[in-house]
Amino acid sequence: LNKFQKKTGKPIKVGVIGAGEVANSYHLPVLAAMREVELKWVCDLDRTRATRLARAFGIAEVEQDLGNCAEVDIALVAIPVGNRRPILETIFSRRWNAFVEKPFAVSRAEHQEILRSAEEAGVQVGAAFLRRFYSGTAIAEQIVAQSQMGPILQIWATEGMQIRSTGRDEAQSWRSNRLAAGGGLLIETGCHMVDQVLVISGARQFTLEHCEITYCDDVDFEFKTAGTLELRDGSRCRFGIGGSWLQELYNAIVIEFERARLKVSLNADDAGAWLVDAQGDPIAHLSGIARSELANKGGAQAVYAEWSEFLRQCDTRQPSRVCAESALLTTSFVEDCYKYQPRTCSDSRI
Amino acid sequence: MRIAVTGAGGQIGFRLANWLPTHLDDAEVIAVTRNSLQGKKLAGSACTVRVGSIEEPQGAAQLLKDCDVVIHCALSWESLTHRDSPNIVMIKALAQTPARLFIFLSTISVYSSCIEAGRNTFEHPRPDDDYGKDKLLCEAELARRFADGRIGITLRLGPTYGPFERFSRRIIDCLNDPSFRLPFGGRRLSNAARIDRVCAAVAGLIQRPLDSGVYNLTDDPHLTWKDIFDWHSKLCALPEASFLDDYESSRLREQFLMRKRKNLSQLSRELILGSAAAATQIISSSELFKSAASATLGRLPDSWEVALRKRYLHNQVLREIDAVGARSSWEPWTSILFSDTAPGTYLPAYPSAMHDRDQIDHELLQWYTRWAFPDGMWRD
Repeated sequence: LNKFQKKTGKPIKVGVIGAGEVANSYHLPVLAAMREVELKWVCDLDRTRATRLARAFGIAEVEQDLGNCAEVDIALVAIPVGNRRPILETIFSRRWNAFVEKPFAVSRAEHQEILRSAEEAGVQVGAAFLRRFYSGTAIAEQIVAQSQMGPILQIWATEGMQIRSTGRDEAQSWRSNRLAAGGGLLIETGCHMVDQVLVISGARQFTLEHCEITYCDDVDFEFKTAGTLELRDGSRCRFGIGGSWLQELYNAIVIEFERARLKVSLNADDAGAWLVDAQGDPIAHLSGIARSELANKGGAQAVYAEWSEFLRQCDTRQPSRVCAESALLTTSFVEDCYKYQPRTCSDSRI
Repeated sequence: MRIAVTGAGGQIGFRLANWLPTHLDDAEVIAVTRNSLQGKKLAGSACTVRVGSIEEPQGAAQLLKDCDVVIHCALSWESLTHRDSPNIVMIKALAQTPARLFIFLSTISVYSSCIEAGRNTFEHPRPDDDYGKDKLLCEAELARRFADGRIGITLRLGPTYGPFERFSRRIIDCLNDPSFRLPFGGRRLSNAARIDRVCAAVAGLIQRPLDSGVYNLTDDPHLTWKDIFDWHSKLCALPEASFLDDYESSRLREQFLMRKRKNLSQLSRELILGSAAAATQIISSSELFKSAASATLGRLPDSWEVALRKRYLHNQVLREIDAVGARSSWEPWTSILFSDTAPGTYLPAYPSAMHDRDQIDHELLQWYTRWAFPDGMWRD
């Protein structure tokens, strides 16, 4: 059992705020299977949806108002980033730890404000950047940290897919609401990839030299950035990060070292890394790292790993791989991209 | 004339909604999407976007009350083939709008995932998956609802290829896969249609409608799989597809066909073979069996034992050599490469005004470059 649980002698009580897809498909299947966790309630403005979710996972309490929810140790915040501030204030006022879905915040100022509020309340905050726990990310991070393939020359990261059948009507489609979603592709999906690049490279700072964002109406559907990363040893490398909801892209992170290239998968089903030659042809697949709990395949294993990490953080009160401070550079990157190019309505690229 | 395209955020609907406004005179195109996120994709096109659900009559009537033509591309993947399948509900709702011409994009999956001439006929298509069955039910509903003098046309499409098309991505993945072999030497006629042919055909139907009915829509002239793979390999500078010989192709085709023929004899056969295989596995993994077999071998004359062991080793080596470079599995979608051509009536040729050849070639190459290279986005 987790130390956190051992201390209190009781299961760790978790409340779920937001009965949407991320809670249903990612967090709850794993939390329901963790013996040290007791799921106490689901809170959502849509009572029907909350009830359905609660029933599916055997959770007794369903609430529409957070004020009525019973005391818990941790609240999972799985609602759109634009709607979180008042919720987080309530969470902190009740001295609950908060595990917050990505994107963590829309700006550096907001990110820091949340950290400050949490510190004042004496609670822990985690940022759920799931892909940090994919084995490819962990493998690449370790290879970079140990300089096993020489210094990094450049990093390319792209992820694209055409939005096809969303299967959602307007009421469910919070993504089209810029205020709720905090933006479009860049903050919603792109922040994952930005975070992976920053975590893998161990970047301390970035310089954005180019940023091009394609807006359809007021939501960004495509972005392309380039610049320089300052790495932890003081060296620098070039980077290019891009994404698209309009078309498919390479869908991987490619790290060019002096002596080799590493291709890191973005896909949970194939979450390893490939050692590739200069032409991009694969030499070997790396699926796990020795002596590490991070050698998971993605999917439920990654969710389990991030929750274990956050429980450890709550227990030890020491920064962990999911601590919200570690995502500050990611928030800054996304914010700077949006500021780099003032929003204008441009034509669709297709 | 007002033309509504439902499912305008989807694969084919999106292309049609972008293309029709610039290729049809005196036509206003209304792109209907389920939510505004999909609608935003069309912000730069010349069509008008309307957001809403067409799953109930009032909603559909409100959205399409002033439309003369409906091109129905929307598809829900939920509750396929159920009595309350959203796709059938949509057909019913759309039939209550005043449109005089209704074009429904169906699929050749209504015949089967791997068409077998003689068994999958136009009269008795026999779909073998929920997608095909649901589309067939929708076709029947359409025929019933449009028997009142209005024109209801069903187009059965195979895979569409071209820039931005998922099927082209699959073709290119195959060309990049050294273990891939194109069945039957690529000589079989495909059931595929390039996206510009689909757009031109729909535009042609709007301008010169045919009688109500069901039509297959493929490339015109009808191309072989080799033609289509070669088009991709040439433009993207990829190696040409290697070929699977006819014997192996027939064997694999038979496997695909067997998989879909789930009649009683097939089920019994699977059960018996499965039980036998399980029994063999249990016996062969048993230590008792192994020691008994070893003891028996030990009692045989040396020459017999040597011959038996040699034979066993020989067979094992052969199996391993056969597996060198072999494709680990043929994914379900590849059944289309083993398929016969769709039976029934084909849509006549309409002039393809969408692109000149060079333009669509250029679009494919540009699209390919973007996703095939890590720095593809920055090569523009």
